Amino acid sequence: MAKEKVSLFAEFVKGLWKENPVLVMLLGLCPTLAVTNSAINGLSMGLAVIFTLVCSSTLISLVRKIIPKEVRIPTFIIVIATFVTVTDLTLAAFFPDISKSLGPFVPLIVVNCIVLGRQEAFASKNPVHRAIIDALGMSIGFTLTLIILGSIRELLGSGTIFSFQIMPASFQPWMVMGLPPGAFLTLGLMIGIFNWISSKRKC
Amino acid sequence: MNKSAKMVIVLTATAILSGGVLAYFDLFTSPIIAAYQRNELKNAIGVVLPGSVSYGEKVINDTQFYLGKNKNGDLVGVAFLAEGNGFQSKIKILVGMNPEFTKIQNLKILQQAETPGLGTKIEDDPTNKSDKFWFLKQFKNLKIGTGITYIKNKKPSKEGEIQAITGATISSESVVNILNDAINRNRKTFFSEFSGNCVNNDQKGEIENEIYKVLPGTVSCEEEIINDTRFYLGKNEKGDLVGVAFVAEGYGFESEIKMLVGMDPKLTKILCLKMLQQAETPEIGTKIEEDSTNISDRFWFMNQFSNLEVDSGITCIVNKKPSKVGEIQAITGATISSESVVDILNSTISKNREVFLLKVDSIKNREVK
Repeated sequence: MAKEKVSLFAEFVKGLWKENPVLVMLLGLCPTLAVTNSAINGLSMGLAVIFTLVCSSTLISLVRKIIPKEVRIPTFIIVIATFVTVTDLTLAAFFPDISKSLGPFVPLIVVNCIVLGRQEAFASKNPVHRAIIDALGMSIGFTLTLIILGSIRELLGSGTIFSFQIMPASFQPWMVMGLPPGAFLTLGLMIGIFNWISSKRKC
Repeated sequence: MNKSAKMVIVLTATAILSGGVLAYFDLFTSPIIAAYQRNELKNAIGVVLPGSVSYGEKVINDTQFYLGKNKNGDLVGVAFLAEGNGFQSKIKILVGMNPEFTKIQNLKILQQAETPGLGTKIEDDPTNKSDKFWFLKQFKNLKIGTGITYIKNKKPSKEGEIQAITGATISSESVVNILNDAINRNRKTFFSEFSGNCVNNDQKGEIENEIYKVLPGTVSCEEEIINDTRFYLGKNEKGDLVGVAFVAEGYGFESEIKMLVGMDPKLTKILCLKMLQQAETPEIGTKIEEDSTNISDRFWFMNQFSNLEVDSGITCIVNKKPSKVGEIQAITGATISSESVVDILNSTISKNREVFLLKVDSIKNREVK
């Protein structure tokens, strides 16, 4: 029971930095690359993942002792798919504009490795309060990364952040930042800078 | 417990619970989503058919047409969906045409995912500081002549010509082709059903014929528009008012329902009800108009409304014979369609009663003075 010694705070923070799902574990890259052409899209995607991950982790952790290990993966997927569909329908009903701009990437949260990965690696082995803290840390880490990535791309791609004009009017937008190559370039640079900071801190 | 039994039980229970939650959420959100989509469509039609205040739907040869009408009920334009492939995505455009199909009134792009910064300029072009929507605006009130054509890097000079977007010629060309194709095809379809301008007159004639049916005893009919509502006043040989008819419309389960309501002059009793338009679920919701499964009376649902006292509103009862005043029986399996008919009638009648009686009172007062 060595795990119990980890403080709840450390459990939360690890998702933000040391085990950041995007920058360290390189999970969930599909939505990360696809929806981050603006900061607001990154934020909405992040919120959808926070909701799904926290709900799924809570439920899975509650019933972790009942689920036979042979059928754990299908059970996880059904639970995740249910919460994702609920999110998708809610977005379509109450936030149609966000739902439109995220397109098929909300339903695709079902196959986001971060969500399934946290059930398998954490929620199915830990008590509820720890599972919730872990889910919050991981999903907020994911969200922050998406917002930063989205802000950089939006700033260079259209001169705005969250639709606020930042760049002077004479600024010529970099078209590539709105396109998939811009996503790859920015993410690569972010991972590079992240590793550089991490290695400096270790020294 | 046996391991495989446990596996089966856990998975089944999970699936059933999940199904239940999803069914509940769908039930709860689907009307909101449908209402949003309808609203979106209504707004879009308002944009592409300027001057229209309401619209009717008409399906001709599997093509959906939206007929935009002004407040007098005259046809001001026809809208339809045009879709096809652009440079890298499907482009969906709502097209508003004049009723003669010679001029585009306006366009609205409903869906496109062209190259950001290039092809997306067909929808809005942030690099053009003076007018982001310059490309689409070229189509506003465009006379199409023999077909739309495009020209590169020059101002359009001929009829039906527009200027393509520099760097997005293929996307521009796609829009032009999608439009030409859809307009040509739909012009033929549309005129196969209607001949040109006669649309209104046909429909007006249709309503006038029905008025004599919903207001028994009527020999002549006058029209009167009060507060934007059209009333048909049915009179007998002596010229006495025998009844008032008007159109009631609203949304059913999946389509617009339009009925002609004939009432007594005090608007407390329905004399007769006539269905003008509906496209509810075939074999189920369509029973509101005609029920082929009821051999003794195919029109039993509509006939329930004949001579129905509606002073205190109409109510709908399921699976039982009506017993109270103003009560009618809903169609089993089509409760929502039945309820819609009742709701449409209740709201229209109470609104029109107020409008109409106020007017009659003011006339009477004037005569007394």
